[in-house]
Amino acid sequence: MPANKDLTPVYSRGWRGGLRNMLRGELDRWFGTRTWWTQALLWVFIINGLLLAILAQDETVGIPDVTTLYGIFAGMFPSIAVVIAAQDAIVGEKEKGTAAWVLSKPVSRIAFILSKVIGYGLGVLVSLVLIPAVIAFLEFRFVGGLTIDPGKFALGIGVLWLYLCFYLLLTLMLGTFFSARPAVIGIPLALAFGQQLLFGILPAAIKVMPWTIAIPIGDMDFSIISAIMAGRHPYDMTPFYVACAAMVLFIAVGLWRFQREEL
Amino acid sequence: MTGSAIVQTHGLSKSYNGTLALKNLDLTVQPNSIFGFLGPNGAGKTTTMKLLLGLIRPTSGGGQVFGLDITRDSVEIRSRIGYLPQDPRFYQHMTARETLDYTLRFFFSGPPALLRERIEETLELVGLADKADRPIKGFSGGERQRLGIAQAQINYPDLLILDEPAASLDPLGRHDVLEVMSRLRKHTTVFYSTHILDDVQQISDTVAILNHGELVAYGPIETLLAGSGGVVFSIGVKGDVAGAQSRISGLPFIVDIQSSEKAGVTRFLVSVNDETAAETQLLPTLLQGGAAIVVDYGRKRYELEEVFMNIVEGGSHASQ
Repeated sequence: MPANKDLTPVYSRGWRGGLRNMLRGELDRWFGTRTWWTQALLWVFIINGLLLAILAQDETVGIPDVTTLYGIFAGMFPSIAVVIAAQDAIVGEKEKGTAAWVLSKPVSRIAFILSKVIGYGLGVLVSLVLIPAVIAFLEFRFVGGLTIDPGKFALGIGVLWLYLCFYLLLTLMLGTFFSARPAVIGIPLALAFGQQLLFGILPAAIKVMPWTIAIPIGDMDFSIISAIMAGRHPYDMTPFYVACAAMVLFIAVGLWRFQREEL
Repeated sequence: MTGSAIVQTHGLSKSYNGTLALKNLDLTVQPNSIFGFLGPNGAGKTTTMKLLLGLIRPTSGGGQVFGLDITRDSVEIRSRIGYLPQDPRFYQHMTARETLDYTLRFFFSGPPALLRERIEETLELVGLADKADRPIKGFSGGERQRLGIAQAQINYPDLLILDEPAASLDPLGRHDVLEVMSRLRKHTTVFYSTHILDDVQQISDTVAILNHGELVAYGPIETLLAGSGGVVFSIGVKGDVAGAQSRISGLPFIVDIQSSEKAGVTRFLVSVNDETAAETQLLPTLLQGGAAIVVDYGRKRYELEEVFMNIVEGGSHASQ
């Protein structure tokens, strides 16, 4: 057998300990299995199928309309998928004992969480955002005859990804607190779909909650995503900034909590 | 205690919701030893192992592995450890080969050909070469245990922590595991827990027994097997048994004599308070007159199971 001295040791220690290999494992879990293409196929079927049906039936539809519809389809439905996919990421590993196994190797707890964030974040970006987005762009152009500025469309796609990351990071953070799946799934879904109810009770919440990033509400004609894609000025960017701040908070709280987890 | 101890704990304690799972554990594990950690279920064995690995935090006290603090330097410590959990669980989407590759890459980044060679030979060692490319989800308990042993030792660790390594293995698999552990002694220190006392007696040099979270016995296995209730001689006698008993009863160093008979041989268990005097005078006194025949004679050696049961049930064989 080759002796240890013949092999090249991994030197990353401290908070980066094991990060590279953990990340490789997470990316393999998404892109090395059928997960990436089944997710992509599902969302292409839903998002692009709905867009195709609308574009084929209504010839009068314009860029503001299609980008608004795209924001709704690509923001609302995949946010459910993100929550369902990510709910098992930490709770499942704690429950099955694989977290304890991995953390018996030279892996820091920060690396464990960051590998989930990056791995799932890239998986969502490719399967739930980029692939349907490229097809949508082609649909707008060749089915609807609509020419959208590629730079603005790409910027809108970036905001859409961050919107989905908001739910991803919230779910991952909850996974560090709870051992039961219902809480980890229920809270983000309640937040995603309970916002409409909240706006009825507390209209001022529209200004801060992330809902309007993807979905126009009340007398709004377009969401932040559709405004960016259509080259219009968004009503208010505050929900986007609040979501970004919340994401930083979710990561920080998740890291803090997982350091204290007893495995 | 020595400066080169692999593991040292000082008053290491852990409680869950106010219930103490481990109480003031003081332990030293010397290099290249096979340290057997015994105790009934819930005694605190797995808790101790998890504390050493940094998977849980001590409530009080602390410890060092390789001289590094178990709380502060956990990642550094784990870079030199191999660990087999009690019920090993791996990623179901990976094969055995992928699991070993994934494990090895936490420690080494190359060269790829040598990494592959290490993986192949480890698969051979644990008898999983023919199942290397099968998904783990189809593995039996025994196969998962073998994979667990493989992943624990694939980095050639300085310390191997094995929680019930022979559990879920058939007798052949158990024999293989003991052989691997014995072979590894030259290169590594093995700290393992088990319920199989025969295995401990066969291969361990040091034993610790935990009961209800407390260390109740700890020391070299020979010391433990010799017992701690004073020096006891075991003597098999035939012929004039009554005369022999009468003669040795009068010796000044005799504390107690217990006798039992089996297949025509009377066995005396003779407790003494002066070992040297007993060694020189006991046998000649028994043989005086020539009417008694001594069939066997020697210091009583306890079986580990006897020691374990005595301790766990409240006996008095604790050696330290």
